[in-house]
Amino acid sequence: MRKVLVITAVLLCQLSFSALAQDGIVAKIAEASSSVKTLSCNFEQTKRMKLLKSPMKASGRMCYEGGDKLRWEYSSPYHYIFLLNNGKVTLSGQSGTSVIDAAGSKLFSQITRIMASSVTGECLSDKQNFELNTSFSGNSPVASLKPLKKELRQMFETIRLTFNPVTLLPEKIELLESGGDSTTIELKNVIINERLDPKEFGAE
Amino acid sequence: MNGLTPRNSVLNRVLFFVTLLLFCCTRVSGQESRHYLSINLPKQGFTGVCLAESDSLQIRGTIVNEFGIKALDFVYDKLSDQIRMPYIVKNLDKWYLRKVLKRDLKGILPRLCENSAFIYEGHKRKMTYNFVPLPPFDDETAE
Repeated sequence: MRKVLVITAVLLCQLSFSALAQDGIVAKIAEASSSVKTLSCNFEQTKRMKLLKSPMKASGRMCYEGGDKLRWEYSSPYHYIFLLNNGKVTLSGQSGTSVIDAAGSKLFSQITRIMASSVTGECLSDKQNFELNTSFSGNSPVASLKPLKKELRQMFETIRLTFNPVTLLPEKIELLESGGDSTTIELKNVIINERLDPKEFGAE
Repeated sequence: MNGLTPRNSVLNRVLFFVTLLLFCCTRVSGQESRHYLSINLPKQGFTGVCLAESDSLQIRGTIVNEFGIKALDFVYDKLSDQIRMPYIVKNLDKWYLRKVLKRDLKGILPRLCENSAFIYEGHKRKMTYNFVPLPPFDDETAE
């Protein structure tokens, strides 16, 4: 009986310690993300599909300015721009440009919010939309976010963010689908709080 | 005595044919195609990427948007001349759309493997499929 009590106590302690550790990491990441006013970087996207042997790779550049300004631009192997500015989304591709009111579509507004909050790590504090688990990969904190809303769950089983151990900003975003496919976005040459040209968020 | 017993000679021939067969299979299989795709309808459109791989038995492919979010997967069985869609995104998962897409894909697939630009006029709903081959990814070019 005593053994059972000791084991239970140890397990409870471990649970509370891991909960405390998780709160600590989340707080530090939240502090780092709150200091980000602007962010720009290059990215490399790799989509792996169960059905196909070769992955699909794409790369480009991303700019973010606090609030809801985001420019996500693919330059190889195709040219495509996703521009979010004050709730309006402009999509420019090889076959033209279209403007969408993100607020008009529940799914679209959720996707744009995730995109904007993932690049800084703000989404970790979004308890309404995600169940959060944290761990470490070497020195790098890793946050696994399970979508709680049905619309997002149909697209992604887990969104995993790997943070730079020094800056505590995301350096890898993995979108894991229930069918086994995955998309990995690696952020490179991250520059924060440098003035961005307002034209970056203007219509193309 | 050159050390080549009849048993060794048969083994060598078998090994030669296996090597030849493997060489032929790798030449036939592993065919890939990557196209930028735009599907145009009278009032709306979709853009994305169509990826396909072919071997002697099947053509497997997927259509994703530029962000990598999947619209559908398809598998064409060359022997039975049948197309399956193991995955289709929920808002496209309607029986009549599956029927139209399957029929159109049957017409598209022979041209997809040619890896050249083409336009395919869909059977219904005035759908037009515009395929443009993707250039190699920058890093792949560097390799």
